[in-house]
Amino acid sequence: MKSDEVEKEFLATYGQFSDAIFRHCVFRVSDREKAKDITQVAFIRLWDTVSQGKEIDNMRAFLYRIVNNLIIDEYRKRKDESLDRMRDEEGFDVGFDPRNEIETRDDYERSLLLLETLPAHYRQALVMRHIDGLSVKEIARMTDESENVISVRIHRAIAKLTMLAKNHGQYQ
Amino acid sequence: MDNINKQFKKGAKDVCLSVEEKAAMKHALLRHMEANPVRNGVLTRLHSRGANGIPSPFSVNNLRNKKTMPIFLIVGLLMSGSVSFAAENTVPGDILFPVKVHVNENVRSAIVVTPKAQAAWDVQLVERRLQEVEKLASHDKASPKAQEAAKRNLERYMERAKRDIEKFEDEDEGEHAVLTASQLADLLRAHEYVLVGLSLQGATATSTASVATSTMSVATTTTGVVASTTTAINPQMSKESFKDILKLLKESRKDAEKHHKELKHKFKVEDEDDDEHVTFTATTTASVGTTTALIFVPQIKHDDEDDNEESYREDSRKSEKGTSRKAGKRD
Repeated sequence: MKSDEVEKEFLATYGQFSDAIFRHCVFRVSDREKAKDITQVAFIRLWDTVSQGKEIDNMRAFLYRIVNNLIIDEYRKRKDESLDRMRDEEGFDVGFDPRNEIETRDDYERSLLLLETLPAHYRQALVMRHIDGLSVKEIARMTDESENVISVRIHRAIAKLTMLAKNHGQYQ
Repeated sequence: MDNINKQFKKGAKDVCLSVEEKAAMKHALLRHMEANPVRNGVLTRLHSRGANGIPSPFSVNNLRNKKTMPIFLIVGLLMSGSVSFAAENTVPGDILFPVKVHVNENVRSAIVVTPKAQAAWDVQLVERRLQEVEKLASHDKASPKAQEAAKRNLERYMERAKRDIEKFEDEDEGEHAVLTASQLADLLRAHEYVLVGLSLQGATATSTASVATSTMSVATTTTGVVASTTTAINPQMSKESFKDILKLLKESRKDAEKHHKELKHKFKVEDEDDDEHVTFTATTTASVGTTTALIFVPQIKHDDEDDNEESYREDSRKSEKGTSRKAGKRD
């Protein structure tokens, strides 16, 4: 393939998957700006790979792999910050006017808040299954886990969300 | 199924890169590509479409695929009131606490229109923070970190209420200033009693039945109570943090009462109509502080009018019979 063909294919890949990858990131890190950063870095790394002549059979899977690693890095970074940032309301700015915020407080933002409570692996499985619409088989392949493990994670994620509602959101 | 599709479309629509964002990212990529061009003479095979055979759930065709269950549906089902409702009783440290503040309280804030209503709501927010502090104070397994957070939140929200009052003052809205100030002062007073009661009782959050029996015995020995105030603090709770909170509350209450008085004087507003008052119920999950606190009431000095003293004394008589009490209500 000539280099301009490589470029063309790459840009087509970007056009095809940028939204999906971005969306996946949003639901994994609950932060739009971060999600944008991660998406961009992911495509940069993809380019670095294809421009060096490496063959990629499955672009989407490859992107997910990159993105997952980036997200893990992000989680590690956050661990150093207050783990309970969301729970004890650190940094909650009294000055903001809630009336302006209300338009953005729709279901999707609520889901983001809830997703934050899930352990990373459950969350990944849940997002890939129900946001990205991947089958358990595909997820298993992309994450190098067995289908059973993925299935279990998805079910546990949903169970946890359900439990939160039942237990009035309090720690046992 | 249409409903699912609509929800799905809605969710998908909300979460994607805007045209500008996409273009900006593309530009950044192009710059990177220019700086790192393809190595010459290299053969690459790119499979960007079809090879993966993974259908995008967001393509039109797949909306007819009934197998995909969007998370919005799941969360929506969970959310149909129940999570928001469940969040209402949480405190800092609980998982759903952020939902309580960022979702529930936001929703309620949104329907507030007038500055007066906003101020009244801000005072109610202070009440919510007070309840959280009390709940944590009466729970023997509360983490000190959560208690710290609750205290900080309380401070922040009291500040906000104070600012509302000051704003009214600046804008010469005498009546609103006085009203809000009195609501705040009443609230703080009521909850100070609860916390004092908690410190007297030194009990953990067990059943109300056992609490009731112990408070009954306290009620009969009036002199005994005063002496025990300094010693009977909840042993599980850090003495320091409890003292801090009580101190904060006392000071804030004094401050608020002082301010209220000044405002009344400044704007020459007579005592407000009772039906304007929001009634604050000083209850906690443990219901510990209520009856014992009343015994202690006469020890707390107010420089307030006589009618306050009377109404509290009356209430205290009522409670010795074992009824629950509403604090802060003027008769």
